[in-house]
Order: sequence, then structure tokens, then C-alpha cells
Amino acid sequence: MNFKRFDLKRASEYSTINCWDLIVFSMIVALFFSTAWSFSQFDASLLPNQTNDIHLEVSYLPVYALKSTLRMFIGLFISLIFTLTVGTLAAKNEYAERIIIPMIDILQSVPILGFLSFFSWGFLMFFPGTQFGAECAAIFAIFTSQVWNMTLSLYQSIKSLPEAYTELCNHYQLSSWQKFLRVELPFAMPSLVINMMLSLSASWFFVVASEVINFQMFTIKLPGIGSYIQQADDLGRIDAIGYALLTMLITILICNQIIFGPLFHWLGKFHDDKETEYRSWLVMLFLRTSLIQNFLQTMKGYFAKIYYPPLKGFNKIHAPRHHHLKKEYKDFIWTVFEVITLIVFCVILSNQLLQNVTLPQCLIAIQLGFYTFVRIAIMLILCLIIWVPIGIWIGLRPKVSQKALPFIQLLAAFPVNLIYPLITLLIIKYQLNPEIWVSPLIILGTQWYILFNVIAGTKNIPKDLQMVSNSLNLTTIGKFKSLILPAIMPDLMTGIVTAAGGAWNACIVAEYITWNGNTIIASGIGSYITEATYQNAFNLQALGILVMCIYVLLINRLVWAPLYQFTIERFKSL
Amino acid sequence: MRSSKAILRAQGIQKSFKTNDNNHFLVLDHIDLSINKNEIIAIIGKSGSGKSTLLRILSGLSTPSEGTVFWDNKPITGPVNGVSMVFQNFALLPWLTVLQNVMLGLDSIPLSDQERLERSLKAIDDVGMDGFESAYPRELSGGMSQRVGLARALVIDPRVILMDEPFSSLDILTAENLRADLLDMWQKKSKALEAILLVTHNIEEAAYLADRILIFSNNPGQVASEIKVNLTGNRDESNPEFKALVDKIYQHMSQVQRIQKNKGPHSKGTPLNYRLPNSSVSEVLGILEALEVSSTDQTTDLAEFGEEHALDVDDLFAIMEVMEILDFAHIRKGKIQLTQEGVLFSKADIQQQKKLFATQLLSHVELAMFITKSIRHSSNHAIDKTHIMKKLKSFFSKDIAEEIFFTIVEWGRYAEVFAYDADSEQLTLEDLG
Repeated sequence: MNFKRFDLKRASEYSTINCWDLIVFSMIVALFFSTAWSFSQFDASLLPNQTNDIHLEVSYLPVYALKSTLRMFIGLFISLIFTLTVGTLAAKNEYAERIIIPMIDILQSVPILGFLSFFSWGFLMFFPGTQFGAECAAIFAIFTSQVWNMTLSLYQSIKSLPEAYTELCNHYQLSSWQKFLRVELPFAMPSLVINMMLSLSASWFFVVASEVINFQMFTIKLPGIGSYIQQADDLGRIDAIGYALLTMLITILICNQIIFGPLFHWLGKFHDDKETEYRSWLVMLFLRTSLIQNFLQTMKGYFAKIYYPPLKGFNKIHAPRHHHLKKEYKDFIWTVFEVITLIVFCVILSNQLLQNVTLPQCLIAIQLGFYTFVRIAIMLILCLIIWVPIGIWIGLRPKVSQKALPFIQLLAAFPVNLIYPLITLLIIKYQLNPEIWVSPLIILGTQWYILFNVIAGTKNIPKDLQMVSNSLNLTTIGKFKSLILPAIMPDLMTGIVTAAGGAWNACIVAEYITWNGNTIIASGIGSYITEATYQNAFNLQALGILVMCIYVLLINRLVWAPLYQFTIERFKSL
Repeated sequence: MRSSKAILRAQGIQKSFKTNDNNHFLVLDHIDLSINKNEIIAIIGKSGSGKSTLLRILSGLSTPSEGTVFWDNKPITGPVNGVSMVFQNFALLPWLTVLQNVMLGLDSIPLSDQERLERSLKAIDDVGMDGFESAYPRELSGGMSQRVGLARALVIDPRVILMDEPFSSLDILTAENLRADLLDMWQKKSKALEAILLVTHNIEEAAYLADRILIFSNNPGQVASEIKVNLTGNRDESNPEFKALVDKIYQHMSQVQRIQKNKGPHSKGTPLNYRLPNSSVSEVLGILEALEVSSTDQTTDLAEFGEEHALDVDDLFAIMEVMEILDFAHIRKGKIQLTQEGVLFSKADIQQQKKLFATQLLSHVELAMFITKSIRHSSNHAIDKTHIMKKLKSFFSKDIAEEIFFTIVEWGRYAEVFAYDADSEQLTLEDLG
């Protein structure tokens, strides 16, 4: 394909080098070398029971940050591959859909951290004698925190492809591969990229939690910012934690600028309207270069050739299908298969994992689960009382929200488990009751979803409705009740559900904290799981996780799903 | 010029959808039509008459329940290579440039890159979009977008182009301009293009473009009549022949309407299985008042009226149907005549209008009677939406049943005959609150 004719940029200054070339070139070289170097540093030679020394000197921090970042991007890459394969399969194959979607639904509400030491064992067994297993386990934990929303987003986009596009593809007889590359994937791209960004934010929390893997006999510390913080906690070095915080902030900022800035810039063309255009300084910088720009254009041409292969001679006429009976038959077999699999799975689970669990133990776990549930519920209500008014206040003021949103995004990306030790310090110092004062930690990280969604919802209230309520001279409370609350309800629900989901995961880390040799425990299902891990009581750990999963699933099905449905139906038309 | 040999021929086409009780709801019935060389055919009919469904069957995108489509006398089993389609809302992919969008049409055809590019550029040039090759669809206006849609259809050198209301989402002037250009292109057309079939709900458009006009009736969709166009001279307002043609189409359309009204055992009103047109009360009110003003001795010429108020036939005839159902007006040979009730209604004040509407509704629409009767007979003087929907779904597909339900709810609410609570999805009598 030859697009040269329309490329205005290449007209005169063909193959000259300008100063922008030099700047960009040095940036690329720096990025390339640092990535290559940190790959070479993944130490595969250590025995699993040898501990890495984590140095608390500031000079080590950039290296650690680089390594943690690399883990996150490897996780993101695997998530992307998983999304493109499994998500697409679910959207295109009815039978795969029936298994994959409910499974993702469950998996995304399951507390991943509870499983960390489980699958770490598995990976360590798989790569005996090296630390590669632990590395895999950490990446796997990060992957599981990133992947589900990405997969669901791709699935939903492909499912909601406009009818006209489907007809277009059928009419011009595009193969399903061509259809995927040219129509479905580009259509899904904007929401996929946004979900990738959310995933990356969420995975910082897991980086911090998964780089140190505890077993009864030994602890593995993978070099990275998470281990650094853990080390600082153990030694009670508050200054080191401060440095780690700063490093992480800088890393998040850099990631946003060099990865998502250009991505959003590029996404501009996937939208129908011009409003959503975003300009990234980095892309503008690249556009100013001459030689590099030239090179990129050539590469783009080659890429287009690979990406848009015109399938020559692929001109089969699809015969319409006529097999209604056969389909019912297939459906039946598939259902039988599903039921059998489910039964087998349950039998294995109860036989293997829970064999030494007694009824009283179960009751205790259920009771502790209830404590955590109460804790989360109270915290959610508190959050709503605080953030809903603030969010509305911000959302109603476009200028304020424009300034505030990047900060809130940054805060949401910030792994709050970093500052757990600081709060522990306060609890110890002032002799506070941990049962109460640990609770805020659970919601600390996920509260931003509520604020974020309230602001987004308020911003989307149609201007004319606001004007009507102003012209009717409604009081603040009247306006709140009759306009704002109903209008933001769908967004608010999304925020609450996300925050609650995250809180269950957080309680595993938040209910059991160590600082400088002190351990603070709040009774709840989270601390139950963590304690069981430390005691190497696999059956109790499994019981704890199972109980937590049941709580999460029951709440999702009995409370959130119906409430969400109701909200959507009742308020969506606003 | 014309040879009788059909390029694309539909024979005994029937399309039905399953309803609730395993009945079949017929969308299209007994369609026989052929597209011959060197002609532009326009299909015109009310909305819901299955025109678009027919277009999809002809292009091979959808399969008929009965009957066969022949392409060069061979039955088709899927999309046909020599047929192109132009979509109502353009269906341009926003992430591809104009050039890439046009090239998409050639994706499944074995060609070299060079040929692909040349043919696409030529197609873009042909529709007058030269210079816009690297623009993205979001940078284009509606008219420009549809030109690209047309280029994408032309790029495969089709023998037949099917157009699904191609100009209906454009403003009047742009549509006129595009129509003229289309005719221009057709007259100096390339070797391959042999025929165009377009679905429209604009009578002037049909008269302007077509050599043959097929008028569709609905429920089920059938070819009710056919008009051959033999115009000499310009196809515009200044030509009396053109005006006569437009009048003739209006007459035929109103004829179709009348046939349907008299069909079936509803001398007193429409039966339960009658598909009520999807028109709102406010449209009926608007038309009635406009008619009252413009009519001399309560009679108005439909064609003039439609033109004067720039109404699409879809809307116009749907509203006319409502007025006939409610016995506010009669339509005979392209003329609208207000009935006594109609005159009374248009002169009444708001409250009287409601009362009149209620009287007519309860005496002419069986569905309204059925609903009020059901409410009275139920123990708590309320019935669920599902109850009515179940009844409707035994005649119609789910979507259509839903459409009819909300139409009757609107009429009932306006007439204050019954009330509907969207939260509990229950119907109650108005006076019971």
C-alpha cells in the first residue's frame, strides 16, 4: 500500500536530521538500555531459601522501581494477550461465552492476595532450585489484578458492535479475521485502553503486596519497590518509606506520560467526535523530528501491510445455516458437560482442600467474615457521607474538576499499603484499639472510585437540567434530591461496587500489619487468612478464602446486581 | 434500451418471525420482483412495511423464510459479488480514512495493491471527493460521508447498487444535491453498473430518480402497486408531468391505505391483531389543526399538503392512518376529508379534545376496549403490562408488540381512559387513580 502521496509532512525535508531527532533519539536509547539492563538483573540463580538483601539506600530505589515497573508491564502484556484471545473467544463463540463470562465474574471478585502463597508454591515446584518461580508468582499476582476488567471490556465492546458494521462486513465478505482486525478491535480500542490504564493503576497495590512472599520456613523477597517498603517496615525506617513514596509517584507520572499520553493521543481517531481529542507532548515531540519521523512512517507502512492483509482470493460465499435441531442437541450436551464439571470440581475441592476442617472452624471463619463485612459496610457509608458532597461540589465546577481529576487519578493509582505502617505507628503510639482504627485502611485505597464516579456523574448532568433547577429556585437540598442524586445514581453505584470489591481484597493486607517487629491484628476474615498463611495451615487458609469468596459472591448477587439493575432502569434515561 | 432480462429476481419471497404461541408474524409476503438492466427502481412505503428487510434479502445478507432470489437466473446463497449496498447512516468506520474506508470494499477481491489503490482513488474521484482521501469520517459532514459511502459501493464495480434510504439522514438541500449527482453519475455510468434499487420514504425522491416505482403495503409487506415512469422533460416542479406523477404516487399510497382499512372484520373498528401505527398524539393534533386551516369544504389535497409541510410519507401516512382509525378523517384518491368528528375536534379546546378522543378511541380501537374491560374485570382494578403484552405477542413479534403497547398507552393516557405506572408496570383506570 502506498500512502506517500498524501503525506504532507515528508514533502521537503527528506532525510535531514533536526535537533528534535537528537532529543528523541537519546530518550529512546535511555529507555532501551534501562529496560535491557533490568531484564538482565532478573536473578534466576538464587536458591529459593536464600534471601536477597534489600538495601535501604536511596541510590538503590531507581533500580527497584524499574524492576517493579517491568513486572507490571510484563503482567500487562500477558493480560493483553489473554484479553485478545479469551475475550474474543467469549464474544464470538456462544459455548465459550457460557463458561468464560461467569468464570471471570467469579474470578474478578475473588481476593487474589489470599491465593498468593498457594500459587507461589506451585511456581516454585515448577522451577525448582531457582527464584524464577517466585518471580512468576509475583507477575501472576499482578496479572490477575489487571486482566479481568480488560477482558470484560473487549468482550462487551465486540458484543455491542453496531448492527451496521456487522452488515458492512458481511456485505463485503470480510473474513472473520479481517473483521476482527479492521472493525471489532478498533471499535473496542478506546474502552480497552482506558481499562488498561485502570489495570495498571490497580496493580501497584499488588506489586507492593506480592514482591514479598511469606512461607512458614522462609521468606522470598524479590528485588523491587515492594520489598524495599517491606524492609523499611521491618526495620522501622520511616525516612526510607518517604523516599519510596516519592519514587513511586515519579514512576506513576512517567508511566502516564510516556505510555498513556501517546495512547490517548492516538485514540483520538477512534472517536466519532472531535471533542475528545487529546494531545500528548511526547507525540508532538516525535512529530517534530525529521529522521525518526521518516523512519516511523516507513515502519508504519510495513506494519499496515502486515496488519491489514488483503486476503487474496478469499472470496467464499457463506451458505446460510439451517440446523435448528442440531443446535438444541448441542446445547443439551454442553449443559450436561457443564453440570458434570461443576460437580467434579466441588468434590475435588471438598476432598482435597477442606479435609481437615471441622464445623466449629467453619463457624469461626463465617463469624470473622461477618466482622469484616460490617467493617466494610460502615466504612462505605462513611465514605459516601464524605465524598458524595465533595464530589458533587467538584463536579458542578468544571474548572475545579479539570484541575482535580488528574490528582484523583494519581491518588487512585497510589498503593495505599505503602502507608499502612505509618498508621500502625500511630496506633501503637497512642494505644488505639486496632479493631476500630484498622478499619479505615481497608477503604483507603478504593474510596477514590466513589469520588471519581461521583465527579464524572455530576459532570454529565445535562446543562439544561441544571438551568431548569436554578430557574425554579430550588434549595440546595431540593436540587440534590430531585436532580443531582438521581442523575449520578448509575455512576455512584458503579463506584460503590468497585470500592466494595477492592475493600475485600485490601482486608487481607490491612487486618494484619507488621511494623518494626510489632504486629497489629484486627479480627476479621482477612487477618484469618494471613495468619493461616504464616502458620502454613493450608486447610484453614483455603477455608478462609472460600468463606470470603462466598461472602463476596453472595453480596454481589443479592445486593449489588439487583440494586444496579434497578438503578440503571430507573435513572439511566436522565 | 430496456431488455426484459432480469439481473436480480425475487420469487415468492416471504419473511416471517415467530411470535409467542408459535404463530408466525409475516413481515413480507408474496414478493415477486425483478430488477432489469438500465433501470432505477424505487420502493416506497410506510415504515414497518419490511422494505429494508427486502433489501437485505436481495443482497443476500438475510435469508427469506420462503422463496428464492435469483442472480443471473442462479439462486443465491449468500452475499453476491456484483451487488453493492449504500447504508442509511453511512456505516463508515471512524478509525479509517476516507481512502481506507473505500478500500475496505476491495478487501475480499484478489487484486494487487496498485490496482486496489487506483480503483479506490478513481471511485473517490467519481463521487467528487478527490482531495479528501486522508480525511477521517469525523471531519466530514453528512453529505460528504454519504458520498464516501457511495464511493465504497462503486469501488467494486457493481452491477446493481442497493440503497437503503440513502438520503434520509441528510438535510433537504444536501439530499437534493446528492440526488442530482447520483442521477448524473448514473447517466454517464461506467460499463458495469446496470441497475439501482433504492428504498425511500420520500415521494419526490422516488419521482425524481426512478424509472419504476413500487408501492408497498404493510402487514404483511407486499407490492401493492407499480408505477412506470415515462417522463419527458425535466424532473422538477416546473414540469406539470412531474407534478402529476407525484400526485399519482400519493393517490396510490392512499389507495393502499384504504385497502388495508377495509380488510378484515372491523367495520366498527380495528381488531386486536391490527398493527396500530406508531404515531404520537401530538402529531395527530398538529396535522388536524393544519388541515382545518388549509382545507376548503373540509377537503385537502394530500400531495400539496405533504409538500407544503415537508412531511415524509412515513409520517404522513402513519398519521393519516390514525385519523382514519379514529374516524376523524377519510382519505379518498389522494384527498383528505375531515369527518364531522374531525371538524369538531380541531375546533374544540383542550379538555373537549380529550373527551372526543376518548370517545373515538373506545368505539374504534378494540385494543383500548380490551384494556379497559380487563381492568374493570380484575379484582384490584389493575392489570400488568405483561398481561397485555402476552395478548399482543400472540399476533406480533416482541418488538412490534412493545411498540403497539406504548402507542396505545400514549393514546390512553392522553384520552384519560386509563393510566400506566412505569415503575410497577401496571395499567389502571384513570378515575380510580
